[in-house]
Amino acid sequence: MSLPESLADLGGLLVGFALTILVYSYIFRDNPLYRLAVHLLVGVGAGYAAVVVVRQAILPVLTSVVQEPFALSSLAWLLPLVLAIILVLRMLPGMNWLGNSAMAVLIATGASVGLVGVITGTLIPQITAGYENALLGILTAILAAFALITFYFTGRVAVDGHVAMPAWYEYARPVGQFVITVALAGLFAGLLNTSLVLLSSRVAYFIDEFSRLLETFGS
Amino acid sequence: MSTLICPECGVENGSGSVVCAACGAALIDLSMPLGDESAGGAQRAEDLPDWLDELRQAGEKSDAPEAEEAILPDWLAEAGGEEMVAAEAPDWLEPEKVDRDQPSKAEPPTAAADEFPDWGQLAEDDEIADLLSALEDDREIGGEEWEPGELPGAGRKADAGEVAEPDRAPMSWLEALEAVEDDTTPPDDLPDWLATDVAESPTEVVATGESESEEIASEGEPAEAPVGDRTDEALEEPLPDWLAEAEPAGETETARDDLKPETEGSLAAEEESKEWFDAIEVGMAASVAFAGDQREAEPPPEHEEELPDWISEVRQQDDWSEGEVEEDSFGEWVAGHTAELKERAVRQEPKPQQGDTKPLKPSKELKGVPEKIAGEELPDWLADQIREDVPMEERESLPASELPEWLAGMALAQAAAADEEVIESEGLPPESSEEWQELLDDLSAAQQEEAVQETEVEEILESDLPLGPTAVPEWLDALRPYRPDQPLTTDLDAPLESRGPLTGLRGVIQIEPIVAEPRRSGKLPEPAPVPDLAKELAVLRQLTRPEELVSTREERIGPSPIEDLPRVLLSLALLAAVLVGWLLPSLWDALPPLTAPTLSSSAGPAFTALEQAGAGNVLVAFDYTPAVAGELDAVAETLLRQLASNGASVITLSQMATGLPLSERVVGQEQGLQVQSLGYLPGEALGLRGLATCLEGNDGCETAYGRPVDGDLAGALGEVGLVLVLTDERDSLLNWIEQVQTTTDLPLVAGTTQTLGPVVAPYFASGQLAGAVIGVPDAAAYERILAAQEGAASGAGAASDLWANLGLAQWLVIVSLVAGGLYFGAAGYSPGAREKKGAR
Repeated sequence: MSLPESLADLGGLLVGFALTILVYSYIFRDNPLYRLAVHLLVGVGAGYAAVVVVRQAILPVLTSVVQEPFALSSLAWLLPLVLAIILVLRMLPGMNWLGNSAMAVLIATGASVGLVGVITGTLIPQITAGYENALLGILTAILAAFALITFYFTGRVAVDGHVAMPAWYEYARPVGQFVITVALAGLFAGLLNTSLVLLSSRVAYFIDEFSRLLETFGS
Repeated sequence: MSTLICPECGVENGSGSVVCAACGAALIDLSMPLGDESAGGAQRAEDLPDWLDELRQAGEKSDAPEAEEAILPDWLAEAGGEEMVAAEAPDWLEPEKVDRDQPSKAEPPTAAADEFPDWGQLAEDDEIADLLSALEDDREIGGEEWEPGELPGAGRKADAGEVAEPDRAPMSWLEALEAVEDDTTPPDDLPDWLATDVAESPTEVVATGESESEEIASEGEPAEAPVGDRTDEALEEPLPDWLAEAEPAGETETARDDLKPETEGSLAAEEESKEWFDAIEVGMAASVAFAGDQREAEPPPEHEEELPDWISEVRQQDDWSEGEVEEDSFGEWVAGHTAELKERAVRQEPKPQQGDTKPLKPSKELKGVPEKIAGEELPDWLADQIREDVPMEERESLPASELPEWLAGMALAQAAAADEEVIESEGLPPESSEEWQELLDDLSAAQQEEAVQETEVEEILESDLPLGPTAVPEWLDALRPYRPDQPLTTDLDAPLESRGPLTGLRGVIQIEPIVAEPRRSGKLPEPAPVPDLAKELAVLRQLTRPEELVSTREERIGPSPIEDLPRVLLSLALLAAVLVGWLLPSLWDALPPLTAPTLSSSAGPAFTALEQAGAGNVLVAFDYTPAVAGELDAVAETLLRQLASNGASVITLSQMATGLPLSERVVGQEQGLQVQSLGYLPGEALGLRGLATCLEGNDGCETAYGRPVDGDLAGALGEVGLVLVLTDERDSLLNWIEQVQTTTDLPLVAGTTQTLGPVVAPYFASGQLAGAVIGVPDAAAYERILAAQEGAASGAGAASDLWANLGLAQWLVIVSLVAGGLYFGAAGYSPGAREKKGAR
């Protein structure tokens, strides 16, 4: 590794290390340094995403259309192009009603596709899935039912104005709360492990990079 | 000689006096003693002249009406109406007239009737007889007795019909005759309202005269000259005696000379009647000329001589309204009236007194009318009759002299009472004539000055000339905002307006600044709370309380800095543990990890699936961001290492823009791995749905999610045998499962973080996931399997290193969790925590 490359890496490493410290400053509550780092992360990420979208989503399409404007594949882009232009018109105050139509098409299509995917990809397979242990399947179903009962808030209004819940609710709700607590504990444990891994990987990254730079400058 | 005693001061005045010479009050003639009606009537009958007495007798004679046919004078016929002129002419007037010239009353009635014009003969004898009898009968209509001189219609005006209406005029005339002889009636002149009425009446006379003239012409009368000519001729004709007597002395001396009495023979009487008729006709024409629009064409002075006084005065009043009379006409009227009364007194007495009488003006007399009639006042009953036709407002404004006797008395009494009040308040009026003369002189001077001013104003208004410059009063001149001849002065020291529409002007009056200043409104007294409504009052006050300013500054939530100390210390301890794990590897041996890395239930099937993919095409999705790259990069390197060892061809893509550089970096680290990149995949579920469609095709697809795909890549997509998804997001994993795996039935292997482990388990259990490598622990175990497969001594790799360095940190975390649980658990059961929990 040459010196300029080492200097470039050193600059990038220092900037990265500073931003990492700013992010970890959240230990001391929310502070401007943390917000600065977050804003930089979001801004750079959005800018990078925009560039990627333009380069890899829009330009290839426009290039193909310009090359063969009257091709069937190009004409097929006419309707999406019109919808895209209409969608851009939403930024104009007087023309936003036109953009709503394109937005409606987009949301309706996405919702329909997502609904079909949920039904065919999650609901039906989860119901029809054959567990090796039937008892485990039944237990899973019962615990899932208790977890759902926990979110049951409907009762009957008594004469004195109090809301009277069903009698079985008092017994089912703690079971459901226990199931949810266990599930959240598992998620929290996984999150904690992930955080430790990320911290460890980030510390390892800087240790490795600074060690390499020291070796480079030392040699 | 009769005297008039003033009701105000009691001074006696002459009989001809109208107003009291001492105090100026209206006088009432007290010379006539008040007695019963019969006595008075008898006395009046005695006082009547001969011709009037005969006239009354003729009125009572209903059996010989044919002997008294005559023509009513035009001015009198006008009062009686048109029918009266034609059919009910006062024929009895003719003998009365003749009798004055011929006391023997030997005129044959037929002769007089023969000389009447045809239109005069329309009144047959029978009709006249009927009319007279009706007049007699009218005396008793309504049970009302009336004297010959009285008008029965005065008491029955409401039921006066076609017959009674014509009777009113001759009866009024007779009443006037009686009123002349009756000294008890105050001599009143024609009032203004009657003058107006009479002034309008000539219009009817014009119509009547014109119609009569036409009738005369049509009946074969001798050709008549125009009215003016006939007037001149008539003046030359001799008048009857009674009419000649009515002629005043003076200017009509010539005419009176021509009217010499003829006392012999019927021929003379016949001729005289003709002449008299001509004279009457001339008088009628004069009245026509006087009243109508022809007045200007006719010579008025000649005809005015023929008019009675009251008509002349009416005309004067009419002319007065046109501004042709003198302003002080009222004085003249009073003077004229006084003169008439004095003349009347002279006629009643054998020796008139000098100074009390004044000859009547010839212009106020009418030729052909008896002297005692012409110029006399209307009787009271006729005045009352006419006054009823006068509007109320005019009637109320009548002067006291025009009021009837009984009403004049009341008015005088009221005036006397008012005068007494004035005298009491202001003192007595001047007593001497000199003082009165001074007052009158002052008054006349003031009136003359006022008249002069009015005349000047009228001249200016009529001149149509623009108003000339005049002197402006000082007080008005002081109100000028500025003078046009002087330049406007501006205060150069005044501030110059720099803003607003008045920019550039000086001396602009600024807006009162106090208007914009906030003012504290007065505080209302708080109402006394009612015990039962105290709670409601508190709620109401809370609702009406102005909103407090909401600070946009984020409030501190959580513990104080001192309370943050454990968190900071724990964070620092955790960081230190990680550093120790990396910097002091020797400690690894002292503090081994809790558990050795072992394959999870899902990692084994994942290894199997990748092994089965072999050297085929594997679609690898890098759907994660740099935030989780520390963990997923280790998982990705492990799985790609296996694919690389199998010689598989990898097609990379990402649904996240930041995933592309991560994929390039991770793929680039593996040696011998064939990599193709589809790049960015937008649209999430929709994009994956389109990608699934492309993956289903056996011959590939030309476009993938809208982007054209070259031939090699299109073929590679069609030959994909395994889908490897590296993600840390649940939605991304589900979209891959629901849109791609369900559609294509391709084996799907997921490499996720440990956080997403609970989400992966159900799909792995259902068989929708062929396997899953969850986090660093699975990756470390996977590396060990790979190392064992490759014959390496250890599974050295990124995942194994991470897992190895997490030992101390994991111990630290366990200790921290236990300590924290114990601390917060004990604090939760403390009394303070219970109170706090109970308060919530």
